[in-house]
Amino acid sequence: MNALHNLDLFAQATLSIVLEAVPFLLLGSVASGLVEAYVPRDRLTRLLPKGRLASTLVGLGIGALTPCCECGVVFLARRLIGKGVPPGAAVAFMLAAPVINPVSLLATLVAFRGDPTMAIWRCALVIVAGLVVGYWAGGRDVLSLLRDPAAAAPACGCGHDHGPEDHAHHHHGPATVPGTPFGSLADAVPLAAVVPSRRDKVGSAMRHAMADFLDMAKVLILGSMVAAAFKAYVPVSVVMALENDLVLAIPGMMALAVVLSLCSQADAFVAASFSTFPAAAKLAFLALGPMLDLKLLLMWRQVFTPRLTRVLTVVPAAVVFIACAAYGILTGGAS
Amino acid sequence: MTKLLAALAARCDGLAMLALAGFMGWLATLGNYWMYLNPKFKPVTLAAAIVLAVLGAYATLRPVAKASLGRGLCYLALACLVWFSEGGLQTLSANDDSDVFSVAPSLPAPEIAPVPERLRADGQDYVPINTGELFDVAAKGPSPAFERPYAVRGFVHRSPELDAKGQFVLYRLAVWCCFADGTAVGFRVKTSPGQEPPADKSWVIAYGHLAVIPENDRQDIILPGMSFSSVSAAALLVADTVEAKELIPEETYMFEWRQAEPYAF
Repeated sequence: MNALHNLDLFAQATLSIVLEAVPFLLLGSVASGLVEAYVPRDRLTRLLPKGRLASTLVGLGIGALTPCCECGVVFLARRLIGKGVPPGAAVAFMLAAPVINPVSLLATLVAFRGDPTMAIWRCALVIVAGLVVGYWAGGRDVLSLLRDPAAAAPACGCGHDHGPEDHAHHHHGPATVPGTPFGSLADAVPLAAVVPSRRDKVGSAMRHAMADFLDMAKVLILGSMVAAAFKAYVPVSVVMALENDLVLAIPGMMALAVVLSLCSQADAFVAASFSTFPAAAKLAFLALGPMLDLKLLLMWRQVFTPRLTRVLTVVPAAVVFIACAAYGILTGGAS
Repeated sequence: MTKLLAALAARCDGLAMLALAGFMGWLATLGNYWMYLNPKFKPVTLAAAIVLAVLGAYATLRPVAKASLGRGLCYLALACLVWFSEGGLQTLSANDDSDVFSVAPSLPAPEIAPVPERLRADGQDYVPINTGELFDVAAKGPSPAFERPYAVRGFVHRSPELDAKGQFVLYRLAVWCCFADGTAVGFRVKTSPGQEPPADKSWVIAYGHLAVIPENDRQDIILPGMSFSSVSAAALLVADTVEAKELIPEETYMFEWRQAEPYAF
């Protein structure tokens, strides 16, 4: 096959993934904007229990009700911890929310033709990983989790050392990402927009929705291009070598999930496109991707201590590998 | 001039959202939507285009972020991909090595004739069915449905090994969600003794009936190109007639599979 032909396929495949995922990404962004604008966060904080297990479970429960992507929740988790939310709740929420929320569940169901198996298993694995890491984090001091706890205290995400009352001095213009290559635009929206007046709530919701969408759209486009390149340029024989061997397929798909860094509301469609891979390998891709990928690693390094970053990296990977290997053996490597 | 550029740059995100909304709206109404997504998702795409247009208009009026080189490059890459896909790279790459599923769009889309109840060839009636539907019939094994005469259309894949057996593979791309997750579904077709198999990558209708493939003749066949593929290993189509047809791009993919007549063809 010639280069033009491959470019042709690459373009068509990339666009098809982007066009397929955009409605779900948009739905997630709009829902996230509405939640941000209309659900008072301080009230949630007061309602959270302080116990390790209870707070972790509550974090998972809130995650199940919050449509969001993994990129946005990292800075939100830091913000919540800084506000006094139990770390176990915030960390469990951060890991699980991108997967167990209704929008991601719907996207997974649609991608797998209405078959709930993959959605159920994906949720179960993410909940287990969230529970383990959340419980661990719940027993730690905030200072041992956050790289710079002082920066989290104002909870504005701007990275400056000041209180909320000082925001006006630098938030007049359009918001910017605070000095990070992958910082969420949503985190950079002025505090006035984060806690809007009634009059501004619709505008605030739209601004958050746009910020989320723009952040995720960039990641989606890049991820779709990598996924399409994989399909257009990787020889079929390489794919076949992976798909026929469970031992290679599971770690291979886990590695792919980390590299692709796909949005949790779009990755199910990419996973479904690996139609001949063992279901266990597709599950590994789906479960690990939203919890661990390259862009998350970069974000964690800026927000959390190296110790928490190591735990966030190792525990989900181990949980997913062990569970998917067992699932693959039990199902005989069926696709 | 600098102010104007800065103002334009600040509105880059909003303009990009508006452009994407426009492209999605055009695809779902007038464009070659079938090349990317299953047409059953048109209402979803259209609704998303409307919401995106509203957000894009808002972002153009009140920019939410300063211009970003990274995002700008992403928009540029997406625009290039649209141009590649819509603007004729297919034509440039149309040679013997081309993947048959990468087809040039024909706009405006031609009228697709309704599928008749029966197709007639050499004085015999055949049930029109697509390769996906026939795959299900074959998977269920010998039954009254298995014995019926069928008319199936698709692309031809030939290889020296198949030629030696007087066979070729007839296949089409099944698209459940999008082109990227498409799977080619096909059958080995056995031609009548002395009949020359059709040209590789040509578009044909094969008229015939299913036959069980003996255990010692079953084999895995990987179809060329990017698509994942499923070629029936259990049954083949014994062709009475193979008829070359003009390819209509809109009919290249399969978007629907039915369990009983009338089949989607």
